Amino acid sequence: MSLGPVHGIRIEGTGIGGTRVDSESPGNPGDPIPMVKVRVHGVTFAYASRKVLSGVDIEIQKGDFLAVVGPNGSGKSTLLKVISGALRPIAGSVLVNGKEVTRTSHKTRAQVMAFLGQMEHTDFPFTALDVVLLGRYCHQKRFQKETPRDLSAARRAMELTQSSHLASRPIDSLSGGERQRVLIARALAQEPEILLLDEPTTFLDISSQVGILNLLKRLNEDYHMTIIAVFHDLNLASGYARKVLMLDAGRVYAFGSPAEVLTERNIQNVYKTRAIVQYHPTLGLPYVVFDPTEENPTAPTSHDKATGGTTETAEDLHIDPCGGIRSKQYWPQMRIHVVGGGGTATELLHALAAHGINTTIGVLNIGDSDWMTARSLKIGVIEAPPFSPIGREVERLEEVVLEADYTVVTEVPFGPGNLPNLLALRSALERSAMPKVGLIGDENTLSGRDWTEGLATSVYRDLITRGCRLFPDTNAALDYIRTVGLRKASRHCAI
Amino acid sequence: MSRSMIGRQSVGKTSSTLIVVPLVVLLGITLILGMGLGSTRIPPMMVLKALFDQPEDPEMLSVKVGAMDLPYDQAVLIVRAVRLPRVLLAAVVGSALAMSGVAFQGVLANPMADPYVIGVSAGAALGATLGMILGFDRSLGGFSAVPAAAFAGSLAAMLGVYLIASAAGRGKASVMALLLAGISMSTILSAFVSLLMVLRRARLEKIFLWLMGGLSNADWRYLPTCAGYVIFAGTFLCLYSRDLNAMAFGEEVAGHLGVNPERAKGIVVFLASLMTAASVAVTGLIGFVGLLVPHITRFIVGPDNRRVLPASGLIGASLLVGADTIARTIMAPAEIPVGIITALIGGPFFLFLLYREKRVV
Repeated sequence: MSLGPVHGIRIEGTGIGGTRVDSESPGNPGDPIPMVKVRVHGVTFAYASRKVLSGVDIEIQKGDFLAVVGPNGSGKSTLLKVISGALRPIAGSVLVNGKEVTRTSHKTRAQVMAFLGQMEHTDFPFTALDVVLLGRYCHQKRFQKETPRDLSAARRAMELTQSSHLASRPIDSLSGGERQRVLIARALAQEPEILLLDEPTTFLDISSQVGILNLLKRLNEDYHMTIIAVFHDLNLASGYARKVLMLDAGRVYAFGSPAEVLTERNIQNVYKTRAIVQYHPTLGLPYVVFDPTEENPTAPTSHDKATGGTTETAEDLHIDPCGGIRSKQYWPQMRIHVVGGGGTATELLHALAAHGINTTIGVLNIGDSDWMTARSLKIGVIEAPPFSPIGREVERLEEVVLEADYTVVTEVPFGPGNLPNLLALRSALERSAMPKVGLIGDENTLSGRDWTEGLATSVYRDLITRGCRLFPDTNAALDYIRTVGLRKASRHCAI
Repeated sequence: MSRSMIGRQSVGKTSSTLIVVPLVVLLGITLILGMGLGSTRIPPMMVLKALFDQPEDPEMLSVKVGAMDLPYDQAVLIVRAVRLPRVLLAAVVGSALAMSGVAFQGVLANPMADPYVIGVSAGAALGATLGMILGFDRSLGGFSAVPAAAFAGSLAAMLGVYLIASAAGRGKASVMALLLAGISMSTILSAFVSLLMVLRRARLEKIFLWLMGGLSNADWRYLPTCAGYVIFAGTFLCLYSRDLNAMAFGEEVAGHLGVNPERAKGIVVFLASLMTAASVAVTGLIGFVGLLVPHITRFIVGPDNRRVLPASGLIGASLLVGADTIARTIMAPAEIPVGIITALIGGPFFLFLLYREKRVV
């Protein structure tokens, strides 16, 4: 079931996503080739007296993959239906290829735009092939039977969506993923320029979701299909769309690239939910995590909770962001500093933040993954310029380590760039009476993480001989940190 | 794999003739049997002879009927003047109800819909009842007297339901509004029919028999008119069969596929109602054909309305001719209303379909 060459989908000059001669060059040679596919201009829509869209203004370019996001009731599906021409706005207009959509016939619209709704059902036992051939309605005349062209378009659409083997199966006997493939095949059989999809993966399992979305991505990239899809899942929107439109109560809240739109502030303002946005380390895309310990969007952050001191909830258990379930213990107030980098401190930082401990980290280069984690957790960072060796920042590090109740060094590799961190730790130890530094690592050497030709290892050994503790893992470090805090608290009480 | 699948579909032309030919043969056999059976039995060969031969020397031939001989010219008379119009009317009405049922089930995306769902039957009933009580003797649309009143009543009811549903949907008659308005209209009109029956007890039996439906009044008078409406509306409906396929997925989906749902709905509802009205005007209310035949047909030819519409016309015709023949012969020489036969065949069959459906789910 190979995809075949790109021109395989083209049929007599009107391929999927290809330039349609009759609709795009209506005989005005002076006009520039319109690159704007869809122009939504001041669209306002209301069901009865309830306003669902107000003054929506967007432009969607040819070949865009636009994700429409927003909370329930923000008007996502309505906007899609207005663009499709199924709903007529009470004010404003929608232009598709420069033509007002409500003034074109259903048939003409269907030749340009295919729509895939959320739930589609029929009580009649049509086969998958019957369904796909319905996509040819907009190209058929009333008196005509299916032409060979209709059949080949249906066949190609089914091959592209890998649904050919389902052709003779009744549509109601298919699984959710199979049915969605068949419905996308029907949409492709229309040979449209624009695909409109309303939550195309909502009822599917993860592998079907990814399968459908990869298919859409391929249609967008290889066949230049313009895609406008409503997404419920912000991460899927971020991973697949080129542009994101965020709606809030029927208005455009943000419109731009995923990175521009899917920010913590936007999500918090629109969804009224605290979200953590990070950049995926390998894909470079924003991804959104919702804090599962967050119960009330207006509640203070974990930092504020800690300073409150007595805001312990009645819950005995909570799910911590690192994925494990840990009993909720009393954690005294203290200051912890972390020396990490490259993502080695992620787990520790989340745990410390979850327990409301006043944490700092550094020195880190700006843009380091631990730097991003710290930023998203609102943890203080001693930062150095991106991709440059750490320099004078270590002076600040030394001060912080001396002030902190405890300092933890994660299993970070050391190179010439961050070696100053280790050196600063050593000089801090030399200046303090008590060794308040712990090292995470299963050996007392830097096996495999020394990129300084032994320099870092010798400093590391030095730290251990000066009384630094070794923790086999993050949890061990956390347990020790707690005892440090408890000891400190009891000392305060004694005084 | 896919090629063979679609290849099979592309030879669909031959397979639709494979479907149509047996159904035409079936209808032919039913028609001949229907003309032969009755209080006087005429063998099939004699029916054909009576139909197509010009009797040059009537004295020469006679038909043996039991112990006595039926003169040939009398057989010709029975076949040509009495039974031929009756079986033809049964065929026309049967196909009209069946095709109308397909149309309503498709356009309303509801397999439980029938030709009477939007009040055509109740309108016809009230029209006919009023016609019988008031002695209506005008002619209208090719019909006169009671059939004219029934025809007018059913079209008025259909129009009323459509206008009410449109008003409720601000110019768009949604499927749900059509169904609800149809049910309400039927209930109201039926109440009036009952009221009139109570008030005019003298006409009670006549009205009641009309409501049960039957072909006993069949003659050549209204056959061409009725057939004209049915052929006209049936042909146009077939042109909308692809729209009906799309509408089976709901009007919103159909709209996105390129169907103008409002227009398709208006045209299909009008055509289906027109052929139903023309039928019930002559025969009264014959139940179950319009609900049942579409299902039987889909069972045989699948759900594609391009096949279901013509095939159901043929099956509906055969079914009603057959049912009417049973109605005439089962208690001969007495005759029972054909509506009883269709209900007795249709009811159990429908329960069977329901049972089968449940097992699939």
